[in-house]
Amino acid sequence: MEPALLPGDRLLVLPAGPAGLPGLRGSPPIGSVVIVAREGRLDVKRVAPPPSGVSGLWLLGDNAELSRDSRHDGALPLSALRGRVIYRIGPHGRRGRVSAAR
Amino acid sequence: MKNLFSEFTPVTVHAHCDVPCGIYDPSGAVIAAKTVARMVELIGQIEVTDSATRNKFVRCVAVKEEHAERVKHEVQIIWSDYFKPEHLAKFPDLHDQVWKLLKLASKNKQNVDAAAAAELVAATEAFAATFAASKA
Repeated sequence: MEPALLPGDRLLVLPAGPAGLPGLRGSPPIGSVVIVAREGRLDVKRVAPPPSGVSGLWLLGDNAELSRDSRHDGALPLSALRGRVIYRIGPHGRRGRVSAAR
Repeated sequence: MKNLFSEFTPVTVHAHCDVPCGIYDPSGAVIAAKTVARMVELIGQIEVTDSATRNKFVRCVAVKEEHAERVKHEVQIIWSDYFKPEHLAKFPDLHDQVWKLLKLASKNKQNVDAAAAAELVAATEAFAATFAASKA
């Protein structure tokens, strides 16, 4: 997810998905940064428009070269969504809003 | 604010898999097989007369065994992780090819046999050729 996120960044995440905050139960907006549960761990990716005929969450890493994402594994169901990243709370110099577009 | 943050338990999230995916190259196996052949050659040439030549001899044996093991490791990774069922349809003798190659590598690990070493180099090169053909 570089350069938007770097290893060691601390993120403030709003819980989302079916069990999340009422305003965040639907599909997250295109361009937003989300946390999803995938293969037993939590991944952070950006929401992209799915190819035609595909439904669900189409997620891409900003660092396309290294990212393993929907290009390899296809879309994820909305039930995999765990949260939406809204703010970088640390480290100190990197505090700020995590913008919803690259 | 400090108290507020202490209420949260941080968890780790990931952005990639642990290593860059999809990078496979049989040249490591070929180099390891050639190293085995070269060590067999050297082992045959060293006359052990003192501790220095004995040391060299032992080192050559150790390197031979290490590289025979490396051939097995490199080939196994490509076999299990790279090759997919659709490749198998194109190369139906792949499993047999790999099985024989791994046995040959074990034979080279155990013995000092120039003919077996040459066979290992040829078999590893054939495996590399199968890999190249699967990408074509």
